[in-house]
Amino acid sequence: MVSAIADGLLTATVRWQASKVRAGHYDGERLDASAVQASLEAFAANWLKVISSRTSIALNRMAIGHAGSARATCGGIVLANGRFAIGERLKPLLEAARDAGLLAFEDAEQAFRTFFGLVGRDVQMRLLLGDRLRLTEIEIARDAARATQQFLTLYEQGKAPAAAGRMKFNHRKET
Amino acid sequence: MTKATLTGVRARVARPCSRPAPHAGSWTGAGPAAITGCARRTSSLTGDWAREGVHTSAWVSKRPMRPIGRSIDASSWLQPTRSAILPCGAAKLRSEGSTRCSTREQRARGPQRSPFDRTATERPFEEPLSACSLGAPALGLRRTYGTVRRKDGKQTGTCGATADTEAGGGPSRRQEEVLDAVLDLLAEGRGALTMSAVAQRASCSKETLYKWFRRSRTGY
Repeated sequence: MVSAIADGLLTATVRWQASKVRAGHYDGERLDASAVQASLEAFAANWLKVISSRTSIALNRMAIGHAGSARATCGGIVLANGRFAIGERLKPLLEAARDAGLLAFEDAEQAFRTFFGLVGRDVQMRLLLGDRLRLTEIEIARDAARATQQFLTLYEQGKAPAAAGRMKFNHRKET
Repeated sequence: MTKATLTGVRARVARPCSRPAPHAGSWTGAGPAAITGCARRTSSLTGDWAREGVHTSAWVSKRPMRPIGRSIDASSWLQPTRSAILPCGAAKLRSEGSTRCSTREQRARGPQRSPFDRTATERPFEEPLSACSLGAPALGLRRTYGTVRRKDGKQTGTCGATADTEAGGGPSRRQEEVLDAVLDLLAEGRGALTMSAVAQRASCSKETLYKWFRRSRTGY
């Protein structure tokens, strides 16, 4: 689709869409493992629901379509107000969990990217390429819970990310 | 609509307002809804405006304003031609109970609620009442959907919630409707996504879109 709307309107639209992805409410001072898990699961389910919506697919397709053209600002707007804004929304939770001794990581951005990948897997790419992938509420909740569990396994306190990754690699070799 | 009625409106407007503060939802509810049917509903439209004028004339008269952009003057509201009356997108609205200009199909569907047709508590814009939201036509002022500019050229109160977006707050309910309209147009993918298409879908003017969603100074 050709887009000739003003950047301000496009920005507001992307922000509006991204605002539907929330990290949930948590008490940073009294954070426990179950609260972290619940918040991460809620975030993951929220994000999966948004990215699988037809409006989000259309928005991302438009941004990708313009990425290589003169109107490349469209992609920048979606990146800044979508992906990066969502990252900034979740990082405080990750950092609060680290401060509470529940998670261990050096770089919150890296931890977030890992979580993002575990949640999204190939879902968004397939949807953008036209795969008629239907995600029900139950499937979304199940995927969110699984991704959160995998993330906590990787980053839980006392298990360095590198060690966790090596363990996973060894596991794959064995199988 | 006869000239006598118009004169009557002005006479009522000129009378000092003895009632308490205007009911905030009156314009929001009556105005655009009345616009829809105004081609053949001038009497009720004038009645709405007249009531607004009676309540608010004193307030408005202290603040001379000259709106810009797409506008309608008082006389055009009284002409029996739709094209001279309807602002951008307003033709899509259907007023509640506007049976006189309804088609048979619309009558069968029953009265529809305009997106502007709100009560005072649902008023989407947090701005205090300004000339653009009061009895402007009855007062000889011009009506726009987004911007009101004073005679000295300075921009003053708007009918929108620009202050919200400028202050970094979230969009107002009406702005959310506009953003949802953009997303719907995107998802439908039928044609080019243009400001005109968005304005038409969201039943507002392009001027309002530019006003509400101008790019932030901080940039993205």
